[in-house]
Amino acid sequence: MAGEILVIGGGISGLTAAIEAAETGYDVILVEKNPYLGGRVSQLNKYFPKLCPPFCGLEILFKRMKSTPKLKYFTNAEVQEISGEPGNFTVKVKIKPRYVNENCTACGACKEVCPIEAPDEYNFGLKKKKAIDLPNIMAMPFQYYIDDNYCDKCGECVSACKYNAIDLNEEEKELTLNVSSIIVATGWKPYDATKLDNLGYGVYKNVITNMEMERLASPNGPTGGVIQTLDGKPIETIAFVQCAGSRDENHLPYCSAVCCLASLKQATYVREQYPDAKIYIFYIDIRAFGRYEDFFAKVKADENIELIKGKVAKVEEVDGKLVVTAEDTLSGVKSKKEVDMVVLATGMQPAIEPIPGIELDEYGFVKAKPGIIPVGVAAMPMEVASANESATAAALKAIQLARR
Amino acid sequence: MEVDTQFVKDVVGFGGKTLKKCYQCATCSVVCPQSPEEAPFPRKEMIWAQWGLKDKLIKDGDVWLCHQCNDCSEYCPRGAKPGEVLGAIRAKVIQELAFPNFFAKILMKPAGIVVYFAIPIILTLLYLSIASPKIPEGEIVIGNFIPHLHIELAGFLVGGWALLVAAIGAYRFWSGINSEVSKVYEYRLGENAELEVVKASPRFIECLFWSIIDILKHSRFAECGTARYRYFAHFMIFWGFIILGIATLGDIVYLYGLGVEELALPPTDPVKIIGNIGAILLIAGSLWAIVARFSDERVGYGTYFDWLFLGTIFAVGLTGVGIEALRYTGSAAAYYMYLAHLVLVFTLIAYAPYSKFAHLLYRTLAYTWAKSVGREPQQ
Repeated sequence: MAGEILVIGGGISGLTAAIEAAETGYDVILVEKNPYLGGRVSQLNKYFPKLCPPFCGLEILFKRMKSTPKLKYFTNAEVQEISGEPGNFTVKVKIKPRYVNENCTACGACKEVCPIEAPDEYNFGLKKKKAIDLPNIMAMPFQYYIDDNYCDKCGECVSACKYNAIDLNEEEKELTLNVSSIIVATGWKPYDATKLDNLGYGVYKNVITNMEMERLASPNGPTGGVIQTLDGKPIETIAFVQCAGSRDENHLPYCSAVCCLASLKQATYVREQYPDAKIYIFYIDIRAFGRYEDFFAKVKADENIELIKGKVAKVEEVDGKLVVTAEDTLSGVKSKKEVDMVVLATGMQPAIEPIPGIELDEYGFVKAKPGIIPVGVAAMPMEVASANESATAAALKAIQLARR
Repeated sequence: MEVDTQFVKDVVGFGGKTLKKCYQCATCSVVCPQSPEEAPFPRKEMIWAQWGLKDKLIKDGDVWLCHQCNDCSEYCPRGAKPGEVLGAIRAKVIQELAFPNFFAKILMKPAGIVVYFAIPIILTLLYLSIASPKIPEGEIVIGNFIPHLHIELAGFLVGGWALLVAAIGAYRFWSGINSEVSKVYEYRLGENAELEVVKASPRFIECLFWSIIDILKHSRFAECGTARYRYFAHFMIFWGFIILGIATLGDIVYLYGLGVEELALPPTDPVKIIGNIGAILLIAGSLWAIVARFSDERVGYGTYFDWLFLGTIFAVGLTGVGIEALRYTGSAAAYYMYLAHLVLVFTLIAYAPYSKFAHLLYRTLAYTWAKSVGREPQQ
């Protein structure tokens, strides 16, 4: 089987790398930890550069993937160990049971009878799911899955399923792959905002993260796309807190690259739904690189969006209202704003857990070495467009090894 | 506005080595429990110090409102440690305000420790060679070795010197913080929307009174988070000094009011008890501060300037109690301990305007200024 290319991670970078390589005629195996493909981008409401909904880009990729017989993929699959050398790696992969096979038509009968409710991590717990559920509205593969953390194997779903698609006795499998090169596209996770003890996350209900905001704004999110406080009230004032954990030696010492643009984008989400809402964006520096400067200028032109230069270092609740405090460094006066909701622009942390055979740098990003090619945010913080470019470039690198 | 690059180097040298890491996010100004709403500190001081704006910092009352709680350093995303930097700025400002300036510069260098001890040692040796006191036989009575009158005269001279230099510093400081340059905001809106010039002087006495009350209660220190210990340790040292002062007054009353001829008081004497309480507070408080700094860098790592002052206080306390202990055991070593104690007390008092001790003066004035212009933190 030598010659195959392994891609770890089925987010937008991994998908791109896998498809680009497979379309040139090489055998590609893609493994994804989650029960679905699409990764973080699928959780967004809209994404840069064109502010499309994720359906747009991801569905094109899924379609290309389906028409490329050279590409095989496994979900619920985690790489355990990598050994060998460029051109000849041995990779151990563990495939956790999904308990639902391809007979599934996603009719939903199982979900209706399932007695167990659980927090839906895909929606950051803003919504409940059942122990058997569809991962998300655009899941690929479009099959239900059982969450082992919550399911008690009561068997209700098995009797409800008309298609014989559920097997509660399915067992964990192990695969050993022999591949020529490995593209690491393990992506990122949001920084744990509870560690920012002065910003009130986890203490005050309406202090949320930027990824939670994406889910709130998303039409398939917990509120059906209505942006509101977590007590269900409309937004009159909202504050975005930049560098929540990023560029901070106590948390993430690097700039997460995308959070400024994410907040500017989310300000437009709020504006679309609330023409008069007052929006405050507290920042150290606005980093809207390259052509995104235009987007920044457009958002800045909105009279009801106030950009305040100064990092929010205190979030309090006073008489049921959230109050954020920063020093406006341009005027040298403390700026206190009373708001309905606070959005922490939390940064990106590498999602990869240590795997023997993959080297990580001091921050946990994947180091490139011969035959092991990190792409997207596995390599460093970047936005989708750059991630895709790095993925396409990685496909070429992988092909070079596969041809030897 | 003049840029003084040497000032920047000196601040870095005095313990502000992290100064240049600051990127002006202003987290510090918000997490600081002491910082007022308008023109909060220490963010502006950080950039002034980076730029070498010496004049602005000398005339800035705010650096003296900082108690080095280090909440700012704890939350600083760059490890710029504004708490430590402000401590270094204060050291540098003490040097700039002190008269004569060159003497301050010598004393603040680690090599200056030679001068620091040489002056009192030479003076003591001089005294010993002139007055040639003899180690008395029998019961240990300090007054039989060096007469109280001599000590009192020396005290007046050294204290007078310190007061004179302090007065010069106080004048420079007070006129500085009330000058145009110091005013971060020069006007404030009056009741009828007219602009009022912020001036400190009219309520001086009233503000000074309440500042002293604040200092006695350590109410500002009590706001500290990260270096919370400092509230207790400083409280002990501060009240140790006051209680020792009360005991000294007691001694004076004994000598000149009640006609007591000799002060070799027994441990049960009320004045001796008061004195011992003060000494214990002084030693325990300074020991606590020393241990805390060694064991936890977050509360401040200290610099030569800090250590010298802290060490002197501790040594004064230790030698003071040492004399007493030796006296009660009947050892003639008490007399030699007494000489060491005198040398240390000299350094504490004579160098007060050049050492960290000067903070007592500048802080009190800064409190007074802050109260008069309404620069109180919002609770």
